[in-house]
Amino acid sequence: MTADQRHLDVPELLRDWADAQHPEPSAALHDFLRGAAPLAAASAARSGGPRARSAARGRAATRAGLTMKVAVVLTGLTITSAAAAGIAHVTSEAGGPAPAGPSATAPAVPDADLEPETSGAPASVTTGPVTPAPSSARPRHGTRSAEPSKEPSEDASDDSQPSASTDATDAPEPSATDEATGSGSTVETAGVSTPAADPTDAETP
Amino acid sequence: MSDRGRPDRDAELEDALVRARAGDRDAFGDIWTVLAPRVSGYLRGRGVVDVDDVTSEVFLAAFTSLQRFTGGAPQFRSWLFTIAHHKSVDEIRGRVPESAYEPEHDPRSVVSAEDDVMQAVLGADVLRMLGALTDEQRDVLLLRVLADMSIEQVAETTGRTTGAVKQLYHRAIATAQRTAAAPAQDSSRRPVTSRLPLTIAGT
Repeated sequence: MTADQRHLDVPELLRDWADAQHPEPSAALHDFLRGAAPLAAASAARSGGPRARSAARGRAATRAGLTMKVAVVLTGLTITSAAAAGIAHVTSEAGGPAPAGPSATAPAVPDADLEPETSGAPASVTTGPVTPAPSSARPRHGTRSAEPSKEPSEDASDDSQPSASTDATDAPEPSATDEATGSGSTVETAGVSTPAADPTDAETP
Repeated sequence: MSDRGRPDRDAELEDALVRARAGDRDAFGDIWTVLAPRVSGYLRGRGVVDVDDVTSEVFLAAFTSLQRFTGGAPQFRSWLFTIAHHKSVDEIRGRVPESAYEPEHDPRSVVSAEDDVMQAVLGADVLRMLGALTDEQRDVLLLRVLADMSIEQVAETTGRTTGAVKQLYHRAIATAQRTAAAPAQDSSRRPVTSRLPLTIAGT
């Protein structure tokens, strides 16, 4: 190493170089400096970043999910009604006994003097769609009709879950910056002694 | 380490901080004026692409949290650079994959049009110097010199031991001096590209 090398003041060179930088404030910061944007607005503008966007996505996904569930429930109900009507029609036309249904049909069936059409139809209308499920494909929809009764409770629990899970999973990678600014404790810690958040996490890919 | 030769800056910053906490909007502008060049230089030295944007984000983050900050000018400076460090980590992390890196588009290797000749020459030397350092050396050197952080503060910010920081700092200085003294092979346009992939991968 020569004398020139030894005497080169690297820190001073770096400072001179850095002090010659001329950064231009962004629009958000410019508004803030001009006083056009209050603190909260500036903060919101700043936080229009990945975390806020992911939260918005989560809320939208939640809404979309609920809408989809409602549509599925309505479709299920419609199919169930159609199946019920279809089964009732087939049953009444065939004139056979009502499918071996639940005990609710019992009061109607024993009256053998009545014509089959009158005895079978009411029974199958009221109880047929829920349980019959013999050989046709339609009863499959009938069995699915039991699901809607569970949906509301699932919705109730889902209603709170998506936003939380979305925030947790959909959020961007652990923001190193948030560690330094996001929490008040970090800020105060920084102010009192050393300003670091927990940079270890930030450094570790 | 103190801000040698610039004691007025600390006094000015201290005054601006007091006024900013009292709600004086002009004080925020003063803080920007005092510290933005250093923060910008720090970010540029670390390889941040959108230097101006990230610099603004750093200051906005600090300004909007200022009411919760306690301390004087040195603490504020350290705090601000800690934010800048984390912002730069975020920015570099969120960038395109390493395979898509294009040296000619790196801001550290391209002299911007608005730079004057002197700044371009100085910048080329500095950037060539920084480019010769390892990522760790560069982090430590920039925080120590531009943020005026103590060894302990640098250690805390970078998550290293004080012994490691000391060693990295001394090696960084030695390497920078060697690099500055060595003739530049092509200092006109691409001074620091050789190690940049490591910068991206390492942060």
